[in-house]
Amino acid sequence: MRRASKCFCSGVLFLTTFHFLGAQISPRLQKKINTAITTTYGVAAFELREVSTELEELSLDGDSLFEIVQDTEQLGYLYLGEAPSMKQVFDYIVMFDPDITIKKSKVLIYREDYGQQIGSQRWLKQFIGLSVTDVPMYSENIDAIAGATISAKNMTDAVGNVLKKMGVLKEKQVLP
Amino acid sequence: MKNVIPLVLFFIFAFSVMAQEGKKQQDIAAIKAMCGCYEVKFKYTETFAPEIDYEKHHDYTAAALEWAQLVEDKNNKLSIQHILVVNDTMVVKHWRQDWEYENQNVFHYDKDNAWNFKKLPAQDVKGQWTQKVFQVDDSPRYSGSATWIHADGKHYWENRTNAPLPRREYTKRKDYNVMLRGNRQEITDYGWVHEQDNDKILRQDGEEDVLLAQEKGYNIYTKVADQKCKLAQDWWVANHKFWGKVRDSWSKVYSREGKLMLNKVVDGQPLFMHFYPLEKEKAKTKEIARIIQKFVVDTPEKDAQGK
Repeated sequence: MRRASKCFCSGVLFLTTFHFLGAQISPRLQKKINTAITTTYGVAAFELREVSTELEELSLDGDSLFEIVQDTEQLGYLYLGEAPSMKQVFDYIVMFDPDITIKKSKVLIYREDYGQQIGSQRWLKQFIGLSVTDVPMYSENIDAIAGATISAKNMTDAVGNVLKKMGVLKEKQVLP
Repeated sequence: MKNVIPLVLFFIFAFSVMAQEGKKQQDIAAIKAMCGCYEVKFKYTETFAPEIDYEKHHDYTAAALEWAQLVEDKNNKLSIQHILVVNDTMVVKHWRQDWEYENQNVFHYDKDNAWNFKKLPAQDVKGQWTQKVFQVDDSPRYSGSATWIHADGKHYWENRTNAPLPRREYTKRKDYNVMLRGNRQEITDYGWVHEQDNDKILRQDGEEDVLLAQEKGYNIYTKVADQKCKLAQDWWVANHKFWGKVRDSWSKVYSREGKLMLNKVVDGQPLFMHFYPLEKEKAKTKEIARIIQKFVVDTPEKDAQGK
């Protein structure tokens, strides 16, 4: 389980000031998150503010949700989660535009040899543009990957769950 | 019987010398086969990356017309200057490859525009050719030694060596700083091919090299009529003396053991920009050497080892 509250990230200082307060996120994962945000949103410096999601009808199950802010401008949201591969778990993020459509998703850390194809943007790009009303279904509206069935299906389900949660948060006006 | 033994030994020795010379002549023929006028296709694609979140960059493809001019032809050294012809109207001096037989003096790239010049043991380079590759301004890029292979109807030379970023990524990428090049140059029935298996590496002081990504590359040289490269040939006739002086000036800088570090820019300009006016005015060696010296950051540590 990860706990994070707030961090300030600067591409100029490049990771040296990047940390989550009360973090249980490894430096390696922090570095990858920072790189993902800077390349996806095209920003050198940004702030990550954890979104409080304490609703009775919703649990993030140890995952984390952040608002991405540059100065006073909201760039979007970042959902950090874990999902099972065949024998381990992998870390993924889903990055959103402010209107809560998926801007990009990435697998950041994968811990076994089989199934690494799910990290390819050729496959992950299928999630781009999905909104809270969309339901990604493996082998239906999301292509299957031979040799990575378990991980690819779990990533698809994970993104589907993230969209559902974001839908609830949007509906309850929890999102900043 | 005793009288026959020295005769047999003599013939074995003579045969061995002749075979070695024959092989060397085959090598020379293969190297010289890279000269002439070529239509070139450049193709690069990133293949594997150890980190799952690495996003492969777009493929790189380009095409060019290139004249490869033999500028030095000695028994133990051949030098080929490559010259681009752009849009049938413009000539650009491109890279240069020198080939030296059983050469002991090499330079290996470390990082941050620094090379380590060192002397290899004679027994390590027996029968080998060193390929030394130079930039458009005749500053160093990389070098490596290996044996030319002539077998099964193929003629090729291959080597792995550290190099700076290739020109196509030099100003675009900051996420790696060393290219571990796998070079394979093969003479074919249509010309020759420079096949590459490269590792993109992040190298930092006191740390293990980090592999960022691997790439496959093909530079395919298809021979065409020399006449198509006439513009480049004429340009070389007009400018070869100047560039001969540049090579001479650099060779003095290269006569060293230890580290050679070069500034990327001086007075806001890279070296090749400084050479434009000098080439026009057909500058003297002294002036050329003075400019080159401005780029040399001298730290002659004899044992500066690349990783």
